[in-house]
Amino acid sequence: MKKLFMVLLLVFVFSISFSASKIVFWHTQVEESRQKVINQLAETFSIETGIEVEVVAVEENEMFSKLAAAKAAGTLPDIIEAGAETILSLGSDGLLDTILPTRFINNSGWTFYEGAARFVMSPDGNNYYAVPYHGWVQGIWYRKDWFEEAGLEPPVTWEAILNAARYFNNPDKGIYGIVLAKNADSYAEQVFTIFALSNGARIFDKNGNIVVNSPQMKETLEYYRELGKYSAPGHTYWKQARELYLQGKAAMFFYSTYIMDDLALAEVQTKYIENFNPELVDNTGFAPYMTHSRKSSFGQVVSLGVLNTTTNKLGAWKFLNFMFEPENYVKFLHMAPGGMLPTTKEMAESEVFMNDPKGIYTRYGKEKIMEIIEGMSNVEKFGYVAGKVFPEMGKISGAFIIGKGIVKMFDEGLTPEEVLSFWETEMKKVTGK
Amino acid sequence: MELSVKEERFAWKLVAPTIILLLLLILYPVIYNIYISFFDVGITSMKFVGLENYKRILSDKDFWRSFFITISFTLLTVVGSILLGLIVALMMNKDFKGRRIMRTIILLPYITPLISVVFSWHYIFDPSLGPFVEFFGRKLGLISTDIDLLNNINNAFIVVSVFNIWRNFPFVYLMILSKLQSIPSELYEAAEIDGANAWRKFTNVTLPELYFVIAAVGLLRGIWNFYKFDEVYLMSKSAGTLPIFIYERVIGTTSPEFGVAAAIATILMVVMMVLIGFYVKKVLKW
Repeated sequence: MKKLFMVLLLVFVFSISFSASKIVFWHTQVEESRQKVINQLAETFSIETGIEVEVVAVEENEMFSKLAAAKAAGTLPDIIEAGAETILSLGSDGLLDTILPTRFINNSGWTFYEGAARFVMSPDGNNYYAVPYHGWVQGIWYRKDWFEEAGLEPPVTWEAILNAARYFNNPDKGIYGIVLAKNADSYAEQVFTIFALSNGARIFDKNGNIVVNSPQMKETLEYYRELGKYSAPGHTYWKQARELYLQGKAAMFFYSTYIMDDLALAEVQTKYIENFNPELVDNTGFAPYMTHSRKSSFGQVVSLGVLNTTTNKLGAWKFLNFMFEPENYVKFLHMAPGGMLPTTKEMAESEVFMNDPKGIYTRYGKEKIMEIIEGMSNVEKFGYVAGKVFPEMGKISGAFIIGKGIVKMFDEGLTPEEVLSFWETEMKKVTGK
Repeated sequence: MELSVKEERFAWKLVAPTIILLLLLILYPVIYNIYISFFDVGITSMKFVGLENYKRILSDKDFWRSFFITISFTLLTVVGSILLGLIVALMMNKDFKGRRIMRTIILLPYITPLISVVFSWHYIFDPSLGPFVEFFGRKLGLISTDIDLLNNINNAFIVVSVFNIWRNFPFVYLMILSKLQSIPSELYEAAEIDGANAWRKFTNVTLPELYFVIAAVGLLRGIWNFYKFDEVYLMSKSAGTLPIFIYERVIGTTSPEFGVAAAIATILMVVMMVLIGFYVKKVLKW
């Protein structure tokens, strides 16, 4: 009995002394293959520094409830990897440390793209809530060969998009002009955002008032409804978009740069269609921006944030430095070529980044890739207005209000005016305005 | 010590582990849930608000809408699956060739993993990729080619109900069939001697014999379906039953309202307890 007691005591003492040099890292890369890479990186880090890393993969949608539960249980992580909205919400709730990220962005020696860094800036503009780590751009991917044959303009203006959708749409043959987002999810918000912002329609004004019920927004909804007539039917989201396009049944669809490997690699593409189409890469064009009354792009920046409850700030600092070491950084980015674009100029311009193991970037060419990365700097979101940040947008996105309104318009036949008043009511409700 | 006292003590010892486990796993969360329903629980704060959460919920018309959807969903699916299960059980109780294989096939909806069934349904009825619209719409021209049966929010309630009945009737069927097979044939013979036709035999022999099985199955299915989350959420979120309502308040959001969700859960528990108490007393006659 005494022996057992001693052993237990020893284990207890050891675990306490170990936990002092341990950090917990939550990330949102739940795919198994990516988890493997991240676990490897964590192991390398603990060999190099002697600091153990506990890696936990969390579904992005569950990040908040998990954090809240961890907060109640006193088991908050030290570092998280999360999208801009999550970081903003956490930052405005005062959960994130701003000293380390600000110091890292200003003094680490890496040059961060301003377009990426502004997404994690605190509302006063002096500090950063997190360090931007990777990002993607979303736009219209289209059949360049079909467009050229038909003599149509690339789909970068509202007019060109509608014309092309009308031209190619042939539902009796199962061919659709475009695959629009018509489901109550975040994809719908992502797709709708670029239409709205290219028409100057916003959710917040620069004082943070909700101004969604505007003539510009109404015009955008009217256009969206019209475009819906030439879209694949039903509650379409990224899944139908990807499959219909790869099957050659759609002329245009919205997707992030994560689609690049599906277009280029046989082993990925044949998951969705029987026969690999080797010409698809060359026959596909990408419109990373949209123009109507103004020009706009959409995308996401995923960042590394440090919780201010961490007792191991030194470990967190070392971890940040480690993650940006070129050999580790590139390993992370190459988990999803196309989907994970770098946020530092040094990495974007490096040879190692262009040489991903599957050869996807070389297939697209350096110029095209740099153009896409630059596109990340023009990315706009509803939560950022004239250099100001409105974290309340996170609540609107989290409740899928935009997607729900779009579904009501298509399913219940609500007019754009009715959708606008639904949006206004719901948005004011969740943001408490 | 008397033998009966000893036996009683022994009995308590035997059930003690179960009781302790139940207290830990069920009673503690229930009490904690009631406790936090009086707080405004944010991601960084916990503030006592008294009955505020309850007031907010009971005056929220979205809550009442979800509440009545849930009640209708439960009633419809319980009655539906019992009727279907009963009819199929009566058919399967007759002797015919291939009966054994049929009995197995009927169980398939219930034993196939939910997620694969849902994905198959979604694939089959997808208007642009699935075979249903491809065949009946584009090949035969019988239906419109842009019909989205499963996702359209106007159909959501019906879709979810039909799916639930289809998926769960084999359970009812199994319970009823096992009871059917234990009804002594003498009862039917006696009824025949009294000149009863098939319908009279069904109402006077079969149904009274099945009464308690059906009532018990009804209770179980009622409880399960009242709290049903997975099937509804996976098939068509827009059906908007209460479990989905709670989920959207807590998990699928960047501003989780744990206090409000706990209040809803407490209200549901009370409603359920009253309903079950009433049912057990009046229908099961315990």
